Amino acid sequence: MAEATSFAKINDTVLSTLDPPGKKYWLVIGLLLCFVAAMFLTVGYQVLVGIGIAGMNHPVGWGSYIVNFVFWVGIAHSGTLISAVLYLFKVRWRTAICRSSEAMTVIAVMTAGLFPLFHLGRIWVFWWLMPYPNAADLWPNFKSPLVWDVIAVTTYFTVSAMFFYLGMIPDLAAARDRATGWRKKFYTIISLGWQQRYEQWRHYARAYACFACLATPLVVSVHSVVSWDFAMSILPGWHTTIFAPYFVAGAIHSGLAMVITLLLPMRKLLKLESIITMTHLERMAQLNILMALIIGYAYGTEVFIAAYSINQFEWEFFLWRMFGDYAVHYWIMVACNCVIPLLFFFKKIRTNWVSLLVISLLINVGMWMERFVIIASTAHDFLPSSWGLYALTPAEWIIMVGAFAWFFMLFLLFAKHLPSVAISEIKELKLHEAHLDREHAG
Amino acid sequence: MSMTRRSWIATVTGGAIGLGAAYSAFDKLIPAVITPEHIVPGIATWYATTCRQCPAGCGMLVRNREGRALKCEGLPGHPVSDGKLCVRGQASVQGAYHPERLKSPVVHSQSMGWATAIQTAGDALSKVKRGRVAVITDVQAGSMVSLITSWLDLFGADVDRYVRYEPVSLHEQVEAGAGILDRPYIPHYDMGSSDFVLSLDADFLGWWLSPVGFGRQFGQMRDLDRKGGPARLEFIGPRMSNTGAMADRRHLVAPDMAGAIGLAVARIIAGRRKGAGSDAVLAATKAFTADAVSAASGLTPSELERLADSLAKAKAPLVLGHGDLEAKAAAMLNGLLGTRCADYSRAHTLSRASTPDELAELVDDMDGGKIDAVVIAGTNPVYSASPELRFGQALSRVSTVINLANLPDETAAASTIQLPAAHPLECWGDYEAASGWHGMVQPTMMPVPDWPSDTPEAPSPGDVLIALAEAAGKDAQRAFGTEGYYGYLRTYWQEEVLELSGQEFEEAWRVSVQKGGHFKGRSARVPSLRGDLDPIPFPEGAGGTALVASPSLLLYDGREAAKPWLQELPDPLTRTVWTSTLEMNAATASSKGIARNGDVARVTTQYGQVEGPAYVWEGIADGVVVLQMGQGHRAHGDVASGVGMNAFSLLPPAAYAVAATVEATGEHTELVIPQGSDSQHDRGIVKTVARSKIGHEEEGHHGGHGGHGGRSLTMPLPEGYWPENKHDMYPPVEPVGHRWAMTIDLSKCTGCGACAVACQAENNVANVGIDEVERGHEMHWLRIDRYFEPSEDTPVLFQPMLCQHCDQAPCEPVCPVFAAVHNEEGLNAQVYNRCVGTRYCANNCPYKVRRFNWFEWEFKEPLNRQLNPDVTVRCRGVMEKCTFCIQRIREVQYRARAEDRPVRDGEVQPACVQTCPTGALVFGDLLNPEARVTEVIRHDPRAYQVLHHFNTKPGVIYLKRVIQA
Amino acid sequence: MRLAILDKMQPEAVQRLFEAKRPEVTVAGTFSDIHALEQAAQRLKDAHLAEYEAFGPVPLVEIESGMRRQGSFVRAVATMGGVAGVVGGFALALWSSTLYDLVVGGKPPTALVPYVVVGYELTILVACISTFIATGHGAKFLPVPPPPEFMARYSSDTFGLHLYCTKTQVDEARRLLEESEAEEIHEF
Repeated sequence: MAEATSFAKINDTVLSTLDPPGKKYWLVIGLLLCFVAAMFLTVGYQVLVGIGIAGMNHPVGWGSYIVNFVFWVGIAHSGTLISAVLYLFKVRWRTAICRSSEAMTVIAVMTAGLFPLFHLGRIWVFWWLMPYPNAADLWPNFKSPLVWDVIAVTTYFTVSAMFFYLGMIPDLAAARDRATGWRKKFYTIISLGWQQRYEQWRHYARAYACFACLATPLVVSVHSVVSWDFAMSILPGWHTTIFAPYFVAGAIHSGLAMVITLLLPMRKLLKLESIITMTHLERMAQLNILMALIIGYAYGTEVFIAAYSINQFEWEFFLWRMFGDYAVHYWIMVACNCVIPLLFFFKKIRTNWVSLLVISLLINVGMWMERFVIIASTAHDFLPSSWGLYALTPAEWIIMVGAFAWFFMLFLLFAKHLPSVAISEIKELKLHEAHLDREHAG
Repeated sequence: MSMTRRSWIATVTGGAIGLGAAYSAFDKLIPAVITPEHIVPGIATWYATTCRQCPAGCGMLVRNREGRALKCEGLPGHPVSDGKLCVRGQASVQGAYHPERLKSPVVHSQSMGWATAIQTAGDALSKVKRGRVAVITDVQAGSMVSLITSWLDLFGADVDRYVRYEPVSLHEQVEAGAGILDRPYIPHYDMGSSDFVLSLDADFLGWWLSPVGFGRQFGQMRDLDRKGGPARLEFIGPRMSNTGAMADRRHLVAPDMAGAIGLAVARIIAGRRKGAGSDAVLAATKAFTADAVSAASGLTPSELERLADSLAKAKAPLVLGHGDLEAKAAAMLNGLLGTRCADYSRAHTLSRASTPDELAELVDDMDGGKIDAVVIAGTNPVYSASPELRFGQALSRVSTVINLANLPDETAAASTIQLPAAHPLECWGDYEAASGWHGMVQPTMMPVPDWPSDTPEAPSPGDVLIALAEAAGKDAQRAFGTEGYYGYLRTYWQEEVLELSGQEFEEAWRVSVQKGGHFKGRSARVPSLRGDLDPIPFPEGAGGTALVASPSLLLYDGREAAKPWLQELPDPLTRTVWTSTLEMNAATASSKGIARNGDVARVTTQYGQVEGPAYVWEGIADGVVVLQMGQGHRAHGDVASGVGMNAFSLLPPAAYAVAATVEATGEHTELVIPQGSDSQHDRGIVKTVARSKIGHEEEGHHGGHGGHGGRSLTMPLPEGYWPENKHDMYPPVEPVGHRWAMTIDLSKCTGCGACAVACQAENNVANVGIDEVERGHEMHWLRIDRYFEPSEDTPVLFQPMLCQHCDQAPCEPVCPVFAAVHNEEGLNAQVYNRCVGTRYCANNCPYKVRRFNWFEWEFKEPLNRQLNPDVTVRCRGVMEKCTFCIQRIREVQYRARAEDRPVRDGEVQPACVQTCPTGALVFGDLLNPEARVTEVIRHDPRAYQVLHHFNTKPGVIYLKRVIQA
Repeated sequence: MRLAILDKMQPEAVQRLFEAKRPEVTVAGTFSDIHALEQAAQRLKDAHLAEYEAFGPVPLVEIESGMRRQGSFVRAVATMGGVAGVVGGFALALWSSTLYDLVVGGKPPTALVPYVVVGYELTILVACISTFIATGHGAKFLPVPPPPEFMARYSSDTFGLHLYCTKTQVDEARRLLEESEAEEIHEF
């Protein structure tokens, strides 16, 4: 039957991406590994001599490490959005891209998770932040937004990793059934004895739905909790109730942009154009328009509230943010996040891979700037006597570049070693579509 | 076998003298508070001594633990300082523990043992022809003067071969006293009882004469509860010093004009009075008519009249003047007004400094080859003498130059023989701060270790001189006795100070050592004018730009420059660190092509030239460039060398102002200023109140709850909570036993910085160096914010900023690991070894008083020996902050518990409160209804909390600065 | 260590994870269409004849009505996990803060509002972990190769229906599969 042949073709298309990669691939991985090594060496040096090698100071206690943390947690958001929220809404176009965006989520959280560690003054006692029974019976302070953050991000990582893995098990079995040699052993182990049997599918399908239901509020809560790291403080520019929705929207914005950035080369290199089509990318670009509008609204509201509050500290702070030392950063942020994405209103722009890539990269620049503008602006708080400025040091640049390398390296490893498209879901979708066609025909 | 003093003297003097000198630093030390048998490891002992960091001679208590001097504090009951101490006194321990201290003698650039060095020096001295020896020291008073005089006598030299050289000698005070009041000395001033003080460029809250004593008196002056209300202070001078900043009114005028104004005011007052004095004044001030002075100084004649009225009306006026004309004007006004605030029964010891002419004569003799050997101790003339004197060149003509300095400096570098004598904290001595106030200097610490094995523990300058005489073959035993300098000192005190003998003397000596000296009472003597006064010529206007050199509050005349604490403490007014600047106002700057702070300017006088960054502010008179003294060392160790400019290199001898040309070089350097903005941007952080409006002010809409008449104050006590009105989300937490709090009277804070350095000394707060300060990594727990205001009355505002110990502290709940917690006594505690270094607390602190250890800061050996063992030294990656000196609180609590009594008010004093000369800081327990803090907070209508609207309920309460227009 | 033991596990043992006892014969029919599979399963269920199992490359919930076991306990476990998470989260935060009674920022040691976040996140975390464990239990997750009668094609484009029967039932099984238009029939 028609679907059978197309099923085999799907298997071929997706699983052939797992064929042993060539020299060029390993060369790129090696190059990225060098950057990653530079990052860890720099961190090692920082652990040895002190965090002063970074540019943080009095009064800017948080710097690029937290900027990057929030940035990567934000990136992590669209994966779960696409795989869980769109699943619940039965959005069909999610199927082709959900696997790679979930992988991106997990990898982005793994990248984000590095930064709070790098940020700590005493990295060697990081586990004091974890709720675990200890000899002194002193538990973490559950009133601290940082502990919420630890719990939320840990939960997010655990849940999205389990979700990612669970969804991938049938496809891993498919990979196992096709592979030879050590790869067969590898896929045998990680496919956990999956046999495509009904007895497994019936639990699997329910579990998948449960995960989708549970992950959806998580998407909303995690970046809300991250935003409360700032909003729970009393600082001007931080202490505001709009932060939670604004951060969630920003996270989705940057996550979608990163998915576009990653998928454009991936579908080309892995020859997945037949599965990940321009329509999929277009849909995400359309979502970006929505997010850009929400974020623009949030930026406007922030400034409006500062003016409307007649709070001298708040208003002077916003004037400084817009026209002071970080004005360039601020306006880059506004342009990249709210204005440029509106170009996606034009179909030509959102269906052209060059403009898609450029704009998605600009959105990511803008979202990084947003976090920078928020975090570096502790430089201007209440007492003018303590005002200062913050800039990244070479050490921070190395660590930041290293983290990007780490992210891309892990994603490349994923793309060539794990099924980058959800095979069984694509097949299910095909069945569904065939069924609908039949009904129409009948 | 280690060398003791006895064996050392025995060795170097051939055994004869040393036999009797049976003493080592410890078996003769008599502690001030407890007797030696009670010395217990872990328990501090306090020794009374006299501070030798400047000529003021304040009494000092030194805290000693296991032989190490840890901290200097004011000596209670001392007539000069009465328990208070300034920045420099606080930093004196850094001199003793300086990493670059010379550890062994150096003869002709070669290190050698003491015995050889003394012998070499003695040989050289023995070859000197009779009378061709000289001694130069800083100003000394007491046994050293007598010892040096006798020592010179052994070499056949005249008494005028002994020069007591002070770079800032204030000889013009002595001359003015002689010429106008017939009293050739500087009196003891007591402005505490004055009701109107006029300062003619005398920065007595900064460096002038005796800043701690004056600070203390200033605190009394500014007491709101004082009979007759707080006294007025007016300032006239070319630079708005700390005194100008604290004055009720100030006029910035060209150099000499302050004196001219003073003389014109004297003339006005004399014109209104009858009497011989008035006639003499009128005769002497013929040139200083109101019109002439008004034209020259820019002050209106009516302003001169007003000043005359104020002085004439005052019950106890006092005029202080710095500079030639100013000193004359001050003496004349004081004499004319017959003030009781200048007591001429005592001469300040600075009166005994040699005149610049005496130094010039000696230099001439040295240059003329009439001197073969010179001994220099405690002073650095190669650095500080005017280029006109060519001191260095003259010194190079002297074949034997013996220097007793224990730190490398320019003079030591020009010496042939360096014999590093002990630091004043390590050895015996005495110092008479003013006539009749004999201060004792005693060893307060074990000498800093790591000396070579044949070194005595503490070769005091006296010991070295005696040993030199002995080694030169003189009959030292007859001249100085057999017990070395210690014996000589005792004899001197027996004969000259205590005038007792036998057991009575022993008892009086013991008491003197315990109490830090012997202070004789005298009946006051008010000044009166001489019958005939020489006419004073009107000062010639220099025309063009004048350079004014001003001694520095932190570094004085440069002798303090090697101390990292003082280099890193921001200058009270410019807030710069580790530098010196050319200060000028915007008009002067723009006329010289200087646009902003840090533009490099070149200043040329007929004596020299310097280049350095400009600092532009409105505290300088038009056409004046001010350079503070103290920096620009070339060979004063790593800390001081190459930092800033040397003001002395521009000056003629014995003057503080000189005509100069100033030009921009077109270069720019970034000044390192830890303070962010100079303006408080109308945020009401430092509040002021007109005296007439105290208690009747309109508060903003943030009027606080707490039942204090609408003040911006919410008590950090359960009564300050208001959950039922949603003012607070949670109910109050009851403090247990105490609720510690502090009040800071902004009317009394002069910005001197003593509190900041005291805090650093007490709490092991690290120095980070200029590069890290520039990166915002400074560590001061207590800083003094300085704001410039566009205000006639208060153009400069000071505000000590430390942890506010909020009752609802924003820093605490954000800490993920409970490192920042509230203790049961209301303290905002920081558990260092629990901290993981997220720095959230610092972000969330609205006062930005938390300090993070960005690196493992270095306490360079042996500076680490100064570290307070009661306070943890924080490792890198940990947040630290003010704890209200919790170690001191606990110590007092333990003592009270052991004695089964409650803690008394005032018994707990954090280091900052303890040292504050003006008494601006008061600490106590709010749960004690009788405590002074409770009294002040509940009843002083000026009380307010910074950023009160946050409802953090700070435990540090400020009192508004009072404006007396 | 544990993995080594699993490596030694025979495929039969894996099979036993799912079946109560080792069937004497397994008759396998393959289909290329899920509807054929669904009809075949329905037929087997109606016949009450044999133990059987379906295989296929898509989630086979569509054929559920034709299978003897339906639904899953996973959802119930997830709910229980969620309840345990919210209770545990609040309990942990409340209990641990009473150990030292530390006051921070004027808040009493046990403050409910901030603990909502802990309860919320732990609800999701514990529910998800429970779901995963329940799924692993139900679907018998073990890192071992599938048994020999499992056909690799099931991962690609083939649906399968395995009948577990005694030797005497083989013919009937074959007949049933043939009637259901199975494309291939194998015996194991």
